[in-house]
Amino acid sequence: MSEHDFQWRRQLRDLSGPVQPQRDLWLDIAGRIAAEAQQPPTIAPRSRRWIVSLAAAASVALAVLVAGLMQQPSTTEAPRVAQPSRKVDPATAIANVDSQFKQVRTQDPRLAAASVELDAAADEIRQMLQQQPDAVFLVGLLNRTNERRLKLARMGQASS
Amino acid sequence: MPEPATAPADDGVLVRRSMDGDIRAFELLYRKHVGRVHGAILRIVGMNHARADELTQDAFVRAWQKLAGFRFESAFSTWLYRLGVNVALMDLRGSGKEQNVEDDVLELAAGGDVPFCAGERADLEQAVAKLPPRARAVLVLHDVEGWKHEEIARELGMAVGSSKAQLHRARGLVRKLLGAAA
Repeated sequence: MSEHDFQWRRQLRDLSGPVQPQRDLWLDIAGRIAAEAQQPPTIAPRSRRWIVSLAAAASVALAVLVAGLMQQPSTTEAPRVAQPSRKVDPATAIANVDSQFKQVRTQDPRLAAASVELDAAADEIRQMLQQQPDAVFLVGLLNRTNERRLKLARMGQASS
Repeated sequence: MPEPATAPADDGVLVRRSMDGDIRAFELLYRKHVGRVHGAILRIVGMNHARADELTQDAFVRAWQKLAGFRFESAFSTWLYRLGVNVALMDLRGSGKEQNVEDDVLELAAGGDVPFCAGERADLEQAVAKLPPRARAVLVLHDVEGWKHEEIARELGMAVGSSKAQLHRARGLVRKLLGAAA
């Protein structure tokens, strides 16, 4: 390395080091952080898929139970439960469980009225979920409604 | 520049407080480290103060957002400095200004035959600032900030050989610019 090169490298190295901004940037930074904190949290597409998958998984599990309920004979024969396929489209799974519930109609008029109400509630939640796929509370609501429908279906099964 | 609101504290303590949402603790971290981050960004963007201010803000906002991912495996100052440099390099990659650089100018400068004329610090800063963005980034990171070619190549998404070639060209161009100024 020549003397010139050495001098060159040293001068360039001397350019390093802290440089304070000409104005205080903190207020702008704090403002941006505060503005972000006030925005509603957005859920990433990956999380949305996870939420819909969660709803689908719960629906598939319910569909299996309902299918078992529908096929359960009055005899002691073991119920043949429909097995869900490994790859289930979430929207299809949620729609399937609805149709299966609607097939489980009880003859008991008291239970039938409640069943109609729960079916309508589930329809509404499902429509809202389509509009707001990242609404976690709707998934929980749908699952709770479906649990009630399952309970009702079991009661109907027992009373018939 | 306003003074910190409270007495200086250890970075680790301030980072943990910031992770818990304490914006005052984060302000103390900002006051402590802004010079290093801003200095590196300013040199990468060619002494453009307005742009450097914007990118320094971006760096600190991003640091706040990514704070939960800080694992205390390195010094916070190093993590923050790298984040700031990355913000500046991302801006450089996104600007596409390199397209405007005429290769023949670079090739002429790459000869390296022009004798280096030691000048004032301001002359050197101006010469570095006049470099094409990508060549400037390589020169600043290597010769000023002390990075290795492997690190530069990784951050700029180029081959190690390209980083070395860019540095050679950048040095030649700075020599030419300083020679012309002398």
